[in-house]
Amino acid sequence: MTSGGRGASLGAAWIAMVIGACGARTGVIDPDAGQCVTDDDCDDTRACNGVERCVEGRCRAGVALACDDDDPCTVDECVEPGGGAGDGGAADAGASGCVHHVLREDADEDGFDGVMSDLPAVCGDDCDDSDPTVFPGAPERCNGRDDDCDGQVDEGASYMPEGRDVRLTFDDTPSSYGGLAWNPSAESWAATYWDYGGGSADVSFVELEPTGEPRAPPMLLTNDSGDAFGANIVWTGREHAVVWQDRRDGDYEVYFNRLAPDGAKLAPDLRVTYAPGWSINTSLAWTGAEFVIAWQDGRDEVEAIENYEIYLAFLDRDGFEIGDDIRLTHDLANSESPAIAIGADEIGVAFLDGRGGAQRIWFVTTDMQGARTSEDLPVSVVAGSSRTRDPVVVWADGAFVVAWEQESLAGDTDILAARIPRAPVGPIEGPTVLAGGESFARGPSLLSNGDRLVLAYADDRGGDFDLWAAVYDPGLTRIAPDVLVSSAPGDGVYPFLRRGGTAIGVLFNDQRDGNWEVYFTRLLCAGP
Amino acid sequence: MSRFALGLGFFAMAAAVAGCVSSEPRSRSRDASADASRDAGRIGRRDGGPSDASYTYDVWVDPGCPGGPVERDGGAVFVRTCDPYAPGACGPGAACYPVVTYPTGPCGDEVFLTECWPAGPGGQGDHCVSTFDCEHGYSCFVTGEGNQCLQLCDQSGGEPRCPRGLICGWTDLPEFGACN
Repeated sequence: MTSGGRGASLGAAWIAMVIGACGARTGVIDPDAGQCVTDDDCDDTRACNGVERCVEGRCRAGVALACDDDDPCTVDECVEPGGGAGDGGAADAGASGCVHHVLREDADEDGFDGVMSDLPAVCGDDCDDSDPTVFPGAPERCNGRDDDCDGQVDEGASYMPEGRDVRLTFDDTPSSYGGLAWNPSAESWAATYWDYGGGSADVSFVELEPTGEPRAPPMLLTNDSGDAFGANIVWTGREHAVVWQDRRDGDYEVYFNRLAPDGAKLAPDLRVTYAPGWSINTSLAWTGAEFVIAWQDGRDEVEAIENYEIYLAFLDRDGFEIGDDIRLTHDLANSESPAIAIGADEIGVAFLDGRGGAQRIWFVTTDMQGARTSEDLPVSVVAGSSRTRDPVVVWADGAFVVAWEQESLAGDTDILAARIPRAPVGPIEGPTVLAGGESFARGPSLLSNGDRLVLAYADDRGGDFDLWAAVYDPGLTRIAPDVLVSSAPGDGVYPFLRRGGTAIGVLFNDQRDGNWEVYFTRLLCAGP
Repeated sequence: MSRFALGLGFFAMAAAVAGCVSSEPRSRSRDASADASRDAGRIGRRDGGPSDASYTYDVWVDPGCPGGPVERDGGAVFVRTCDPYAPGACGPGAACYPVVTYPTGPCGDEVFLTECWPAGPGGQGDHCVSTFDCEHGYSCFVTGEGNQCLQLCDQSGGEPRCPRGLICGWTDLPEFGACN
């Protein structure tokens, strides 16, 4: 310590304080006033705040006990003797007063602790602690579940068609499906479709047994004179949600509703769009917390010059809109036919766009609030006058995979696909021809199994369009030969894949009965 | 403007002259059922069924239009003055087009017409703004890949049929398909 300046001043102040304390010593101790003779005079009987000491006649606080045991899987606290360890789980109380609440739990007693939210994986890696057959390293069975907790479902599985097609629509007017969802609680499919049964096009819902047989009569979701088309459907874990395009108000607009498992509406129809111009070709996804709707919208047309742009809307789980519609594309050419998929922490949107004078597939990502996280990415390659259409997208193995139909230089049509790695971000891989050759292949649908992709499409190699499926690894290399999913006189087109239980459901449109009708069939697991 | 819609599921015809509808911006509302011609609907309750009897859903009973779908069969009116499938149906330089008059409210009539108009030049896949940009036997559709003239076809499998690689797909014209 120095003897002058700022140090000298501090030293004087300290000395004065000590003198004052000792000058108060009169033989009568007043612990409440912090006076003491021995350490015992200062003991507050609490262990957790350390051992109090008597220093120069004054009580000094102790150092609180450090109870951190460096184990991320425990909650550490200090309890006073007789205070109990609380109910936070198994605890071991040591003499120090430290208690370590162990958060690990093996509820299904399979030897693996369950995954605990907000805790590192080391604290538990059993992805289903209610099922003793599910744990890290368990045999992966073909059951539509992640048995070995590696984040992938039924890896290594192959699928074979069941061979039985169930007709879902029966009137003599054209019908077309909207979408398909699986309700695991009820073990039922939910299919939507539209037809002209009421004079104008209306959307219906039908709940199906796992085999595709209707569980109950269809329910009309729309019943207006204006046409209603589409009806994408998703299952949220508690209810279904549907979105469709409807011109009940004189112009095609996007409508939304939530449905009970049997298709009963949970609210009045919500009109999502209110702008001039058509709002059509909807796509719907459930993020786990919110609904995301994409569509093409003509509101930005200038003096009747067509200019569809891609828009997004977000709705909360109760079906209330979150913010305004979000315009995603801004070029002067038509941006159309959006398809969306939910990735690790992004939304992927594939769409058709005519910018630059050539129709091609583009792709863009946003965060979960709809803010862009990528530039518009050209996915397809323009070759000659080749047309592209019908983009679909799924999330698989850290990448979005986009597939579409494209006219080949030979004049027929092929199914192509490309990977857009996002976790981590990488250059686009592809395009790769998945199906086609000498025949016309059209209308792709993709399903991600994590370690593989299932593609379904229509192909006229047999004369009429029949439905085929093939399996690809994440790098888009075919790993299983094509299988014929459905074949009948007349065309069958636009297969739509959804996983449900141990099967993959296939909804499609078929003309075998002389009229376009909606059919359902299944791909069943053939191993491992 | 005259376009119809078409896509997976459907193609919408670009609105024809008789059916040209202008849509005005409206303020946001969460209740789309607010229309004078419709019942306001009512609330019911439903349990989750055998799979989840512990959960109860408040369901909305939507009455739709008065009379329901059966009586509404007359809501789509067809008036044919020519046959788009028949060559020369309207004479030299003219074409027979489907035209739609859309209802003015959710429960009005949708009227489908076929009428002769001066023929346009557009053939299969050609860009169009109006259906009158297309030649006889074709109409203009919003396809989801640009607005295109597409050949009209019989979805029941009759003539005319579509070239190989195309199907007679769905449109918002209930009696006409379009090759795509």
